[in-house]
Amino acid sequence: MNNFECVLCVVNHGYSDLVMSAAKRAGATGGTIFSGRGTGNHDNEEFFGVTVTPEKDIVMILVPKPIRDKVLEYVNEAAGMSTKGLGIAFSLPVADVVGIGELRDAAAPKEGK
Amino acid sequence: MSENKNFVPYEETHRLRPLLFVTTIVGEGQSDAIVNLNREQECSLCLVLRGKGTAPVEIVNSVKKEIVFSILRADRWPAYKMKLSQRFNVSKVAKGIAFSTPLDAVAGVSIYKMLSNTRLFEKPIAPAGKKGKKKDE
Repeated sequence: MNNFECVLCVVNHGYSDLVMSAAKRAGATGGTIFSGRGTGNHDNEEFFGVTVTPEKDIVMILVPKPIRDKVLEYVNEAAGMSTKGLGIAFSLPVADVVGIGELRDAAAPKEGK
Repeated sequence: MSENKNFVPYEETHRLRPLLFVTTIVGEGQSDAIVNLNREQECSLCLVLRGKGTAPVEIVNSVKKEIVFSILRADRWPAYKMKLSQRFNVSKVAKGIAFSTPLDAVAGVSIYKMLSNTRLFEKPIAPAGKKGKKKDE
């Protein structure tokens, strides 16, 4: 098994920056954000005859296993269910990774600078 | 729920090939090449989403990203990985990351056959046994 985990966080639209800044504070390098549509809350679907789509942001962060718990804790603190972000975060096991070595090399400070 | 006594699970009579859920994140405009790489490995399901990256601009090339989700057979992963790392090394624009997650279950035998590209004429490795045979047959 690989030394990485994929942390996924589903938050209300506009709260992805909060998630990313929390993850970076916990040691994550970067992530990818894409949009989605929530289906959980049925009460808010219609508002004065107009259907309101609960827009969601999904933040996907590949993190080393040792900092996974810290990332989840920080993300939950910043945009968890007790905040306006109403986010849920979970991690998936990663079997293998390609391209992360190059990313790590690029992130390392170069000698002489 | 009524249970069929003659039912024999597919995994008892056939050799299962493990599947992987592969996520490939590349820069804008690169997803077609990644889908083609997946097709070379007999991938039958690819999903392309648009997103944005949050890594510093000094490290990655562009902020706009394309995410390719695909389902591959595990035995095809090494070849895909090799092709992918070759592609990532071509130029800065072609850079990206990919990772695979093992799939535990799929909804039905036909879906499994589609995802693993199992030929319809593939014979079972073991007979269905007495349980699997009906009286009429």
